Amino acid sequence: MRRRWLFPALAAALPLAGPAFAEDDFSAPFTLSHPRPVEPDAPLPPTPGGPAPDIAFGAFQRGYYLTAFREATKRVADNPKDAPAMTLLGEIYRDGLVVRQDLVEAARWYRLAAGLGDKNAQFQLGVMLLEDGEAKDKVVARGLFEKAAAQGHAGALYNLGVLAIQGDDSAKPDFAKAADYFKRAADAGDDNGAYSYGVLLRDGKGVPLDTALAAAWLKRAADGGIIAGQVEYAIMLFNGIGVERDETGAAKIFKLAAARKNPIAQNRLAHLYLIGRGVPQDIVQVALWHSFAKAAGIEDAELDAAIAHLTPDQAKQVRELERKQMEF
Amino acid sequence: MTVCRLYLITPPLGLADLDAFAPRFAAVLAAGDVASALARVAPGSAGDSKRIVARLAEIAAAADVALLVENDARLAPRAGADGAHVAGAGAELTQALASLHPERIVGAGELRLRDDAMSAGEAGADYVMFGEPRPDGYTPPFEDTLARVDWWAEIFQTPCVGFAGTLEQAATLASAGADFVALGDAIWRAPSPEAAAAEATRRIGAAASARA
Repeated sequence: MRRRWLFPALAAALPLAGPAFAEDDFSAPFTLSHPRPVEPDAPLPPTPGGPAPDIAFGAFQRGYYLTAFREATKRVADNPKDAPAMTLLGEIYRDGLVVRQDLVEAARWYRLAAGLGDKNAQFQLGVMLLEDGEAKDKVVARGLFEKAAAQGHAGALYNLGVLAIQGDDSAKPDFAKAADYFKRAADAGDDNGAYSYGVLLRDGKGVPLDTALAAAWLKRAADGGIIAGQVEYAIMLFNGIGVERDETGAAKIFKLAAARKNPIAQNRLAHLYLIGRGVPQDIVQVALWHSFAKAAGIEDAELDAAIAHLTPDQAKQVRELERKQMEF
Repeated sequence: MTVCRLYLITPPLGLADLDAFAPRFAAVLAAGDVASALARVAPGSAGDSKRIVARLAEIAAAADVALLVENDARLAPRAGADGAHVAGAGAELTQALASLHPERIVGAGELRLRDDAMSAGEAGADYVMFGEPRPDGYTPPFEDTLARVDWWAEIFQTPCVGFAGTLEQAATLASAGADFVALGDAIWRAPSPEAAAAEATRRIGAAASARA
């Protein structure tokens, strides 16, 4: 109770609780979800008279992997149809937690649980199959994602969207189908889905072009911490596309993504400091952010020229700020 | 509207200090606008930490102040505290978040790199703290703390706590956008801790509203 009282602003800042399997990958707008810890089918704290607490999962979540392993093993021994416990064992074997990593054993447990209809196991097994990279596995993986998606698994919906865009021998890339999956993933709480759906709306791919809707979905992705979404939304905000123009607001988001090492954001931020829009003009900041972006592979002759004549004192400030950006 | 409130850090306490400290603690909580307090246990008193924390938690609860324990997520629920303050953005933080959220508060301190601070924020810490004295007694220079608070407050939403060694520094941090200002010796070593808490409240309140 006092928690709410201590941080009144928290309610607005917190609802990032959706599944976050974001990889901060700025170069590939559509990348597959990575495996992540399973989620319990039921909320953890038991309600009076409700189901017994999931001790195994609780222990797993708290990092007590040995307890989790023991409990899950016991549960499977007691009930050969305990799919969530099997999924947990799959998880423990896959990540090599307290037992030696064993992908074959992990897949075996996932397969058992998936066969019993466990959506998390279906999703994880699908991801494992895709990582093997064999074409026939991809078909099976898609089937598993479809089963998990039918039960509302956000990561599976998102991955189906990615697969729809990738296409294969039997199917051409299908953006309309992808857009539908991404939207459903986003509705189920997946911020990557929100990002991908926003990009398709912005480009009018698979869905009618709608910049206002695109901006709204990209904002949701940006607020959810998807860095690529922050960059795209900041660009729209700066240019006033689909959303009321706000250069200062855009600069702020670029700063955030730049601090998170996104080279595109670093490059744009350098330009903003050069022309003094959204931020005060500042040649030292130009040099600072250009140097980071350049180190990440973004060449920019205009910025090179702009910082060609720094004074020794400015150059010293740049080095000092570089150090601070890395260390503190 | 910008708001900045106090975050108190107790001196390292042993069981023997408790009877003298408890009334002073209660008086300070009553005198200032204190949002939360971090209970520190003296080295060598770890065995008594539950008793020490439980006593402070009771006082804090009566004053509607959140009491946090240091680096011991498991102690928080056992001692009736409202959360834990953990070091770094690594496994300690992850485990504290897993076991205490969302019912209790989890904050991150001793952040040595910008990356650590950002990771802590992304992991879901309720706040990040900058500039507090480290376990070895070293306190980062105030200008560094100010630069960190300044940087953080501008671009991140996770609340930040800046540590101040003096009431003047407290006001400076509030002007820079700190959501909370942490005070330790500046309160406890003042001639009158209650007066210092009241004065700190007045100064950071004025500084924060001047910013807004």
